[in-house]
Amino acid sequence: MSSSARRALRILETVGRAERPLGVTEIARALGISAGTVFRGLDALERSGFVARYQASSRLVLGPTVSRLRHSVLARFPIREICLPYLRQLAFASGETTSLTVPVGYYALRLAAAPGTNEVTTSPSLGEVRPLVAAGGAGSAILAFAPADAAKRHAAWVKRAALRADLPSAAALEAVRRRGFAVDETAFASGRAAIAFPVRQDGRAIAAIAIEGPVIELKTLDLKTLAANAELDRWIGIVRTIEALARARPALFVNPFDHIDPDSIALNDHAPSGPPR
Amino acid sequence: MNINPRIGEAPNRYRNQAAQRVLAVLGAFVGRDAVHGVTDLARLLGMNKNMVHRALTVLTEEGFLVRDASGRRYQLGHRVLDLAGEEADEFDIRTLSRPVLEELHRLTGESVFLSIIVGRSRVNVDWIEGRGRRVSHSLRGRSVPLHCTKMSRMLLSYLSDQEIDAYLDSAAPLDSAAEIFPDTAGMTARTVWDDIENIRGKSHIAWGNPRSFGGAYIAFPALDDGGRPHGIITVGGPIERFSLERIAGFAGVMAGIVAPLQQQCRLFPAAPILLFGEPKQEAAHE
Repeated sequence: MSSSARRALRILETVGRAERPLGVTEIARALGISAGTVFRGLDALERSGFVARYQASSRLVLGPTVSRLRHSVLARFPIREICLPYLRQLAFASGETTSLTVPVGYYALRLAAAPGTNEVTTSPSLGEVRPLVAAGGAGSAILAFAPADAAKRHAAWVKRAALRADLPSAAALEAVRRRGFAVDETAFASGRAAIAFPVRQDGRAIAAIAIEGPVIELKTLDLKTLAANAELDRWIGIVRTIEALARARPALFVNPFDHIDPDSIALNDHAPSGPPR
Repeated sequence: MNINPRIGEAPNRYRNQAAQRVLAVLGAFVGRDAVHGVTDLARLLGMNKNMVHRALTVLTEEGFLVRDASGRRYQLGHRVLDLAGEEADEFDIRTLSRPVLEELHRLTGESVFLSIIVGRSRVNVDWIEGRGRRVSHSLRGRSVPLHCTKMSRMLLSYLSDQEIDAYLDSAAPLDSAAEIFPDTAGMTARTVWDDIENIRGKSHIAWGNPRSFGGAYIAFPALDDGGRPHGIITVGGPIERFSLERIAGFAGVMAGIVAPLQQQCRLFPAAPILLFGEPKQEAAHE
């Protein structure tokens, strides 16, 4: 049973990771198996809605069942619905797209977003997963408030995974802790940065809320100038309300992957080879 | 090799029953709080427990399912997140309301607002400002306690009686922010309830407010199937230009503009409302 089922799952992943609709031969070549084997796997996948034809062609894309499963995973994070009204408030207050990111193992999952009101805003893709070290300000905000032992294990994982992104320096993480938020320099607005606030519970960051546009001037990042920034103060106030809610109603902030060993979670081909040390 | 491109019509000999069973087990985890054990999956899918157990083994080894926190049942795993898909069609009240705000603004030339409940407050999360003298003079995204201003009380009115009572109890004394919100002068729980009873069940509410900028307003609720509020859409203008008589003349056309959004809103559950926060502090911020 298992080998044909595993092959079907491999085919599903291949279709899911492709940047364009794939044909049977391409899938066979990618997996190093015969077209006939791919054909049988696809038959099972298409019957249950895991893959579908792209515009009635013979090429394949992910089907509606996958979309429903992904939505089901996202819906298992109650924090998502709780934070959406606050994200909308922040998006309107700042004019920029705001998003909620949660850790899944050593990855950052962009769980929710509220589009900004400015004419040009970012349009983040929902459900996107990146390693925390490659997740910009949101990743740094989460990493800065990781408990020491977890940070150590994470650093070892990053080394094993040979990611292209580097671990933020101790000084950078200390700056995030001191300031209360992480900054993310944007390519399109020089001298300005997007920011991400940790959502803390019992001292660790259970999520990050990012304002994804260039809302802050880098030269104003010293604590004295920041203290005089009334807008920033309002944004922090909104995040503090969410933190107070997390203290009062912890059940609404449970991460459904918290009980899983982060070293066992491998996504996006970023999996380090070999067992954790 | 000539492969029949019509996969859906594969002959029986191509059927891959083992794969189909594994996919059926995975598919059973669609749903908000889908957590399953072997026995209920077997019953649900009409398979024997042995088949289910083998499918669960494959799916957990591959990371598509993981044990839940109790260790006895299974939940969707991280690997599902790896199947990159476009997450379009997420319900976003602001995106859906934007064309409605624009059309109402084109029709009236006045300020239009989309307001939602955030914690214990009303927050305007979108607006288009009217021309000339107008009624919008507030900070973008500021919080207004749910008993202060008619727009807030309209949102409050769509909550349950118990929620409203609890809110009013915790927000008392209700007239403590009267300097900022003149309409709360002398306000008691009774006067709020009177107001709420006048609002509930109506398709729209129109009111004049001579104290705050001399404005007149009309507001439409956007509710889910259970009557919970996604938000309200309000049009407001200075009373000399946007009188209650003029509003009455426009009301039918405006209702027609808002109706498709209201229908759409019924299809999606409203975000949970937790009435969390400290109203007195929020009032002081304003």
